[in-house]
Amino acid sequence: MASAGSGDEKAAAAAMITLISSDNEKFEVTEATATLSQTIRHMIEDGCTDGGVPLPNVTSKILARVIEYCKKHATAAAGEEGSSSSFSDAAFLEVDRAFLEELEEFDDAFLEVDRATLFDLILAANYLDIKGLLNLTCQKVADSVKGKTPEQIREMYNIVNDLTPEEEAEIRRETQWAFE
Amino acid sequence: MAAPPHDRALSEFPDDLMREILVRLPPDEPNRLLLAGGVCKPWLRILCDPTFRRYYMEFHRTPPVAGLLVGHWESTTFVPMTTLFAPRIIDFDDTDTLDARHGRVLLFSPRGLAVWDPVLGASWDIPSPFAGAHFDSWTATVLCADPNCAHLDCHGANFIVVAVLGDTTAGVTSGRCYSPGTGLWTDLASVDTGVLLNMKPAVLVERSLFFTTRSSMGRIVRYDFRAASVSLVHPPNFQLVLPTPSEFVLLPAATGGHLLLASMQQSTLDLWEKHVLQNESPWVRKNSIGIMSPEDGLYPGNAGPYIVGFGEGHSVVYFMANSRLFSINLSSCRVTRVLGDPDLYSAIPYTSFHVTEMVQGILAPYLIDR
Repeated sequence: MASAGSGDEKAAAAAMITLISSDNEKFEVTEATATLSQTIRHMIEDGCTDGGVPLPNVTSKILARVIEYCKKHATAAAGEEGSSSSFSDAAFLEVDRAFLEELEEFDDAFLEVDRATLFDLILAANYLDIKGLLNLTCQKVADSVKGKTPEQIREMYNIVNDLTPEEEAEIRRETQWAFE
Repeated sequence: MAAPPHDRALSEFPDDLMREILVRLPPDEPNRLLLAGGVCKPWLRILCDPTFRRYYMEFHRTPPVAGLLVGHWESTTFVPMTTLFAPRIIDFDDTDTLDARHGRVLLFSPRGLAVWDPVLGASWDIPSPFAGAHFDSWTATVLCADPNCAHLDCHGANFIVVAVLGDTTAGVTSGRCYSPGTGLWTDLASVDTGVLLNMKPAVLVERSLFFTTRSSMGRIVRYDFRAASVSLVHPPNFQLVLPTPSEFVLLPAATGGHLLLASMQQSTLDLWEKHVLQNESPWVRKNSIGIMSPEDGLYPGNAGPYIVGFGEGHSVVYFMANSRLFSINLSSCRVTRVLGDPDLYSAIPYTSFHVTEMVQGILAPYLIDR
């Protein structure tokens, strides 16, 4: 793989995609990284990526994070394809396990962001249709309500309480045991 | 004047995106779904949507443990794991639970075999599987009759009961299958070795049921639906690795198409794995898990521990130690205290997504004005 000036490198260089954020910043990424997004994959398939892919819903700050995620997971996907044929080999399983652990650590560290960034990542993952990132970020929000009462959840996420006091009281009565 | 820039808020999320978050609330803690319904109308609306329940089941795939069928000497108790699920209990006097799967429970009492569906509150008497049979040990299990069903929410009479009979005198182990549709037991090909069957739950992997035995050879009986046959599988050679051969349980392995064998020795759980589609494939020794967790009051030298059950879909082994029931999750290795019940000798989980229906039932009335 490391042979200098190989055809691989040229092919990789040819398959670069330019992504353009809402604030007009350009990001050069490999096709393998970009196609983790189903939205971009479809654009590539339709041949409409010349001159760059404008992403008017994603700021440069968020796009940089999304690309960081895709780069890491594109490498993981490539690694998985390479070793899947020899799954019964204990040595390969060991390598896979180490890699999966590394990926898990990456994901955990990746989620160490403030709430506003997390929401932006969810919206970007949804818009770009990146399944893994959407799963990761949505799960983070779902996990965050553990052990919280409705009031605490509202407070945490600035949610307006649009239930009438009567409805709220009744739901509370019905779900009283759930607070215990 | 332009609105000041503000941080994004969850309330600005479109419903389908909010649904992606709410669907990820864990099924084994249904109270979280219930509490989420009391946060605001949009969340309540998403949770009560008729399509949400199906979406939720398909997302999680494995139904949560709604209750445990706890076996005592000649009696069974249903212990709900959530207050959302309290089935109408049928007569459990002198009753043993043989197995539970796909929404049904197989019970055995002096009155005979019966299949119980706790969610529907229905039960079916099963005729004796012993007609014309010579045997000195037997066991049976229940499963959904439809091999193409995803078993997310199956209920009712579309089940089959499989019985295995061992005859050590004649040296024969045979299988029988009952379908309520025909009302008949059908014989299956037998194998020319008699084994002593354990009256313990079977495990279903890749259209094959596996039953444990008390045979000195420690054989496992396999009932293969594809080949419509009964055959024997050898467990790993325990003597090579363990000081004393002990009882083991079988579970589906995390790797599809593999059978997992778990054996408890003092303070560790030893695991083996085997491919089930290749009959000659060897048992591969997996990891050992230390089950002693001092925060649960478990120390080496405590009374027990011994295995009393397993969760087929959950990679969970139930064990007794210090007169208490614990569970250990084989993926996370987490030990959880489940019940304090010194007389318990078996624990069979009843799994069901029914609790999500209960959640919707409780929340739906508050949606009337929408």
